[in-house]
Amino acid sequence: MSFQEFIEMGGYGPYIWSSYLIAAALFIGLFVSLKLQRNKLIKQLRRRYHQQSKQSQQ
Amino acid sequence: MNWQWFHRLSSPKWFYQISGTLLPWMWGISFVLLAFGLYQGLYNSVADYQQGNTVRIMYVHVPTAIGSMMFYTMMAVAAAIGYIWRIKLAHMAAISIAPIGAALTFLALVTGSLWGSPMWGTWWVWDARLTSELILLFLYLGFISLHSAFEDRELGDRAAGVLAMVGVVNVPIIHYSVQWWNTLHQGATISKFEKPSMDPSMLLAFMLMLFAILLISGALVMYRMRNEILSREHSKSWVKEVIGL
Repeated sequence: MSFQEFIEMGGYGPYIWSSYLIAAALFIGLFVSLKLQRNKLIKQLRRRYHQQSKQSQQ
Repeated sequence: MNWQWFHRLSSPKWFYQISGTLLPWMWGISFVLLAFGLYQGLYNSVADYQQGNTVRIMYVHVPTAIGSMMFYTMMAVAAAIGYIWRIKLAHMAAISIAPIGAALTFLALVTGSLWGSPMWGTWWVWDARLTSELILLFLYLGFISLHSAFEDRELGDRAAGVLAMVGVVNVPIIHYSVQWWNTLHQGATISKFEKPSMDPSMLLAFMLMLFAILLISGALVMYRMRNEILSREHSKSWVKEVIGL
C-alpha cells in the first residue's frame, strides 16, 4: 500500500480521518482545559492561604 | 461486618493520594494501547467486505458509544450513593464524569454521522438508536447546567443527582433500541451470545481502541475529580500541605 492509498482510504479518507481528528482534538481539549483549571485553582488557593497566614500573624 | 474500607474509600484525602499514584500509570498504559490500536485500526486490519475502509470509523465510534453509556451509568450510581449515604466524594465523582461522558456521547454521534453519510446516504435519521443517544447527550448537558444553576454546591449535587438517576432509564433503551424498533443502525456485533462475527484483525483493533479510549476517559475523570477535591476541600489542612504552603 502506498502512502497516497493510505491517506485516500479507498475514497473514504475524509470521513475516516475527520472521525479520528475530531476525537483527538476533543480529548486533547478536555485534558488541556482540566490542566488549566488545576493550575488556576492552585494559584488561587496559594494566594488565599498566603493571606490567611498573614492575617493570623497580625 | 466491617465498614472501615467503605469510609476509607469515600475519603477525599485517600482518593487524592491514590489517584496521584495511579494516574501516571493510567496515562502510560493508555498511550501504549492507543499507539497499537491506531496502528492496527488504521493500517494493519482488513477492510470490510461490504463497507470497505469506512469500517475503521468503528474503532472510534463503538468505544465512544459504549463509554457514553457506561459513564452515564457510573454517574447515576455515584449520584445515588451520594444522595442516599450523603457521601461527598460520590457527588464529586458524578459531576466529574459528566463533561467526559458528554464528550464521549458527542463523539459517538459525530463519528456515527461521518460513517452514516457514505454508507447510509444520510448524516442523520430520527430513528430509535440515534434519537436515544441524542437524548443521552441532553441528559449529560442537563445534569451539568442544573448542577451549575445552584449557588449552594451541595444542593446542586442533590438536585442534579435526581436528574442523573431518573435519566438512567435511557441507557437500556439505547442498548436495546436496535432490537425493539426498526432502524437503519446495525445490530450488535461484539456482545452477541454467539462468537463475534468479525475478522480477528478487526477484533484486535477494536479491543485495543476500546480499552485505550475507556482508560483515557477514566484518567480524565480522575484528573477532574482531583480538581474538584482541591476546590471543595480547600480549608482542610492536608490540602494546604499538598498545595505547598
